[in-house]
Amino acid sequence: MLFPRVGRTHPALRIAWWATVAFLVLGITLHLFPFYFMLITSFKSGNEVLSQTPTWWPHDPTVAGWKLVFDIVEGNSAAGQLMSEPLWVYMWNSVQITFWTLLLGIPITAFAAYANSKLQRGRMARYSFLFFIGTLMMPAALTLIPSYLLTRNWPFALPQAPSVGGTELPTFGIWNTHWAVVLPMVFNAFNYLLFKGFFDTIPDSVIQAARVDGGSEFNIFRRIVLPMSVPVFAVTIWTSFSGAWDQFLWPLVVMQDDAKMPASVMIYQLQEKFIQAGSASDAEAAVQSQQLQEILGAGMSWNGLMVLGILQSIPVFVAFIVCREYLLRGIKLRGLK
Amino acid sequence: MTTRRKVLLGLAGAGGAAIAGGTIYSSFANDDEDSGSGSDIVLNIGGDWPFAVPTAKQAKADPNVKALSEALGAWQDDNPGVRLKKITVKIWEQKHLVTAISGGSGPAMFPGLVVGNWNGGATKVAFQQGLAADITDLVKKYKFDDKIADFAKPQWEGWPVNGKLYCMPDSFNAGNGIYYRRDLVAKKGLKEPGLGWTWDDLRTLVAGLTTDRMKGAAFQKWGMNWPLVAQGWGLLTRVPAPSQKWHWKYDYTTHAALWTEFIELYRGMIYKDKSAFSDSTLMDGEVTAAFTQGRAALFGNNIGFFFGDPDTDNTLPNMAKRMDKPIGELVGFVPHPVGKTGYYGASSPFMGVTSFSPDLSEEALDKAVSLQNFLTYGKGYVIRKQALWNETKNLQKVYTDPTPINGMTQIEGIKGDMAEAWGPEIVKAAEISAGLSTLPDEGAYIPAEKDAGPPNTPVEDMHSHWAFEKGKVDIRADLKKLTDTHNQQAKGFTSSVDKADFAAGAEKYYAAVTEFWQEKAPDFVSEVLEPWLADVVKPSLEA
Amino acid sequence: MAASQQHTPVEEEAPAAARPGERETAPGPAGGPPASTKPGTQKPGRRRRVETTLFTLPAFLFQLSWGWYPMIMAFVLSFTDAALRRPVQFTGLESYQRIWDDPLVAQSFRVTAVYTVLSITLTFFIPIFVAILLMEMSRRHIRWMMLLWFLPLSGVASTVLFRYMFNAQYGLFQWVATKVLGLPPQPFLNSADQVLFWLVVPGILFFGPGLIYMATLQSIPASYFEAAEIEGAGFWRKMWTISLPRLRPIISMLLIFAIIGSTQAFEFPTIMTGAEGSPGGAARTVVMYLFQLLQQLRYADATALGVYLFVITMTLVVIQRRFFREDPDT
Repeated sequence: MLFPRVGRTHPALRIAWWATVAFLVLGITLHLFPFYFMLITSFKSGNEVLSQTPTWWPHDPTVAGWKLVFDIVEGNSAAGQLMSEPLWVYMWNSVQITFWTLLLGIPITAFAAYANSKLQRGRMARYSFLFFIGTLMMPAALTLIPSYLLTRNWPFALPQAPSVGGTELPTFGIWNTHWAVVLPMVFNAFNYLLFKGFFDTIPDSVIQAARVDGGSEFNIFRRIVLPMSVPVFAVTIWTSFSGAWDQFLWPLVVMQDDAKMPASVMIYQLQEKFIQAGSASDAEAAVQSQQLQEILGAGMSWNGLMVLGILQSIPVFVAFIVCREYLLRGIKLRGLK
Repeated sequence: MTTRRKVLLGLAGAGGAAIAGGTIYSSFANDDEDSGSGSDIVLNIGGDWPFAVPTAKQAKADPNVKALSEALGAWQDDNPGVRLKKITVKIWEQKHLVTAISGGSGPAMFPGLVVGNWNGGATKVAFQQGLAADITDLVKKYKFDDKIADFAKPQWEGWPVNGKLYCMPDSFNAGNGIYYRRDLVAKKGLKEPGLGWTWDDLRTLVAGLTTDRMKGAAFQKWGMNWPLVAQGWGLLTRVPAPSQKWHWKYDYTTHAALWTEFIELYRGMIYKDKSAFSDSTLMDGEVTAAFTQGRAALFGNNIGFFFGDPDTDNTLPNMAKRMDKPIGELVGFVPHPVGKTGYYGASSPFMGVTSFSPDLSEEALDKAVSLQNFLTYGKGYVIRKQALWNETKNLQKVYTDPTPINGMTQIEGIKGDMAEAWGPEIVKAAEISAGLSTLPDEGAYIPAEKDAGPPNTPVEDMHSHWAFEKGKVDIRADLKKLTDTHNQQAKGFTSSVDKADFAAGAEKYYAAVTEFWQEKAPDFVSEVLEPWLADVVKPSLEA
Repeated sequence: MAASQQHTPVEEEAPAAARPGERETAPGPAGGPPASTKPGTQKPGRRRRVETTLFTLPAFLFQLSWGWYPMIMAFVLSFTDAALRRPVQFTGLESYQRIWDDPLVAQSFRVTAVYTVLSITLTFFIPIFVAILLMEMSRRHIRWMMLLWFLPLSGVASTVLFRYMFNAQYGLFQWVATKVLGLPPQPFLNSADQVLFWLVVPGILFFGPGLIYMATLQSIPASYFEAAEIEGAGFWRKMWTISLPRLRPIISMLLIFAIIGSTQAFEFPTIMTGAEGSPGGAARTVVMYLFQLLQQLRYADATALGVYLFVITMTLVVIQRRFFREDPDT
């Protein structure tokens, strides 16, 4: 809408228009290139991926990388010992974890952001805002151990529950369950920022008008704010989805049973085995040399790694496309010309 | 409102699949939080270490796994009521392992050095913090002191932490050295390296091996460490100072001329001769791949890299198979070049240790140690090797360790030995490497600290700076800066060891060092060590 | 859709197009809501407080339990020797003093500052601009152009890919430098001067929050632009007076997030340059150093460093909030 509606045939305007298009297309090309490169690399042979002059098309196309990965997933190769369950078990775990994270997380975060944007005022709003985003500023690595202890002995972040008068206080252990992954992710400070930013752009007058009609705040949220906010919900659902789907460090800390792990953990571990095939020091190499042999031995190279990357990305792509649809519907709804 | 309904519908759709299963809650339930109850002992084995608890399917597919399950079966027959449970834990990642142990969910056994991130001192600190079970009595019970091979004994002496043991020896590596392409050395008429060669020899060799298509050498990102350690870096860069709050001070300037010479040499190979390559991301895997794929003619690593599986890519045996030559003729191995006056450090052999979870009951701990004993020193080791032999009839798959810590270089029922499997050259190389006596370990003389003290980070920084900075570097100024930085860091720490004990220990340690090198490299003692001890160490110890 | 009706009557008053926001609270033309936002229209304070509490409470509990409580535990540990499996001993401010005196800490803060500035100047503004331009395309084109521009790259996949591309021997970047541009082999991640720049580069095209800008842009009523056009406002003027002010709250939020995100930079630099941030620690950010402290089992020291970082980040955020008011209607 920045370009005027009328007088588009003016030469200067035309040039500007096409320059914009050219800029966008160039950006898209640059952006898509890595995806293309990933895809063709996955079909290259082990030697071709290491050639000093990159090839733009697999000269000697092979599905060796794909086959290797599927062998591993099937458990037919040495590295396959990593996965003692069929892949679908891990996928199913991922689905469950992601589902509950979204179901609990999105509304809870949205409500808090709405309250901060439209209900709280002055000092209260400021402190509440800092309360909700403050934890983002502390490196997560530091809270790893206390958070983990918390999953063992909720509500105490201690190795053992404290005892009062000789009896140990009761604790509630969610460690080694999916809840240990879901609950810490329910409140998501990034989504909080997104919601708050979006709700701030909704004019107060809209809400005031509804208040005059005497609706409860919840009804105002449901009937007025929610329909206006479909796009931001689409975006937050998408970020939450990819966050929950892609995470691998935390589940490894709070779960131990193989059968409960999400797929990302398994894919990540496999990938890590190959990327970091190698140790950080001579000492580590000495102890790990046997394992390293196996890893090197599995014949994994960049082609196989790209296959893993593609597999891991597919659900994220799907979620992105679905959420984009809602975003676009939002645009239609607003009567954009 | 249609949109809102659609969002909800969409959500329901995504969740519909989840709900349809109907078993959501059950999968969230915690089946066996404490499976230690009852008469069964459960040992949690994590991260595929020391083995991946095998399933029947895998045993069928892989002879290695089959051999393992036979051995485990034999142990479980002797130890009824013990269950081995596979858990998922990142056993090689210190952060994860320490987190798990600190809350009581660690694996039954783990590689001891991981909790200290491969640093001996930090590992002992971790032991004292309670991150591993005290197994002093069990080490006596299972007589590990008697069972380990002679070549491993000196290394084992450094492990007691103020009289207690938190680990058992589980492997021994004959040490680091240089792999090189023998065929190319012969073809070009270069001099083959041998024990006692120097870094200048290495530079000449690397330059001679370089062609348009192949670099002479590929070095891991920490390659700069090797020429320096060979001159005594580490020994000569730390001065005991019992009068200080932290009992060590750092000094990189006294021998600045020596360090400068070898930093220049390493840089010269990369930037002047352009005969070697290194990179801040280069690690073992890539360096080995560069060698096996013919992109580099020389690389450094421990001797274990000879003994890979010949059937898989990027291992040395596979390379030999591909080029259709005996591996002993194709690839040579020699300990690292020695320092100017005969000192050596970078080649020193290395011992791996197993530690155990501090949360195991007394009985479970005994079983865990027993299992590791069975697989490392006992019948389990033999059963495994025999089964592997029966399955594959391939000696190269059976003998994968030239210096087994249990000393069993030949196993009954297997036709052939190490030499037959790999050729005499490699066995010889391993013997030479293992024959290098282990340097005196300060842990055997000086009491262990409760704090790890100032980290080695400033040193690593300088190493990578020297190795990767393409432009001019002012090494003398860097050494000065390094000294200041490291001492500044040391100021923040307080030793937990008594001043007098430390001084006494340090004196004994340096006496042992002198005695050791008197025999191995008298030139080093007379030219470098003794003047340094007299001028620098002694005044500082007496201060 | 009640909401969209609120906007429709805006057209007539052309001058306001320059500051369209004012329209909402200023006494509006017919059809708008009653302009008064004063007590008369407010609910009784008590009921409102209860409602506010109900909206906030679940998030409050979760944030308290899984956000602040572990953080406070870590904070308490920073005053002890933080022994993990034996009783702790209080050491007071020792850890804070030790970290304050450590020369490498100062270095890591300098690295982080440079990284933050580079990453915000190079990567923060582009997605805003792109989102604005994309909205110019016809609906049919937005559909696929948006898909292609913001196609996400999974975190795990991207690290693999960029490590491959940055490889000094056979990487794509090296090929471009030597074969296409005819330069001598470039050090890329091996040079202390360049490493931070190259770490930021992938972020220029990837990981941008462009979608959220588009989500916000599409909620600007077309009438605003039409009114401005009647006024004779051109391309840049419309962007400056309508698009950007309307985006301001969301830009403000995402700027906070970008500041926090880059002061906490850790994962990408670690995977690309190794845990020690070579060469010479030139890429070692504060959090990377903090990780090294954790690896040396110096938990209390690591927490002390975390607290310093927290204080600095919090200051930056408070300053940002002061200078960058998010309300577009003021």
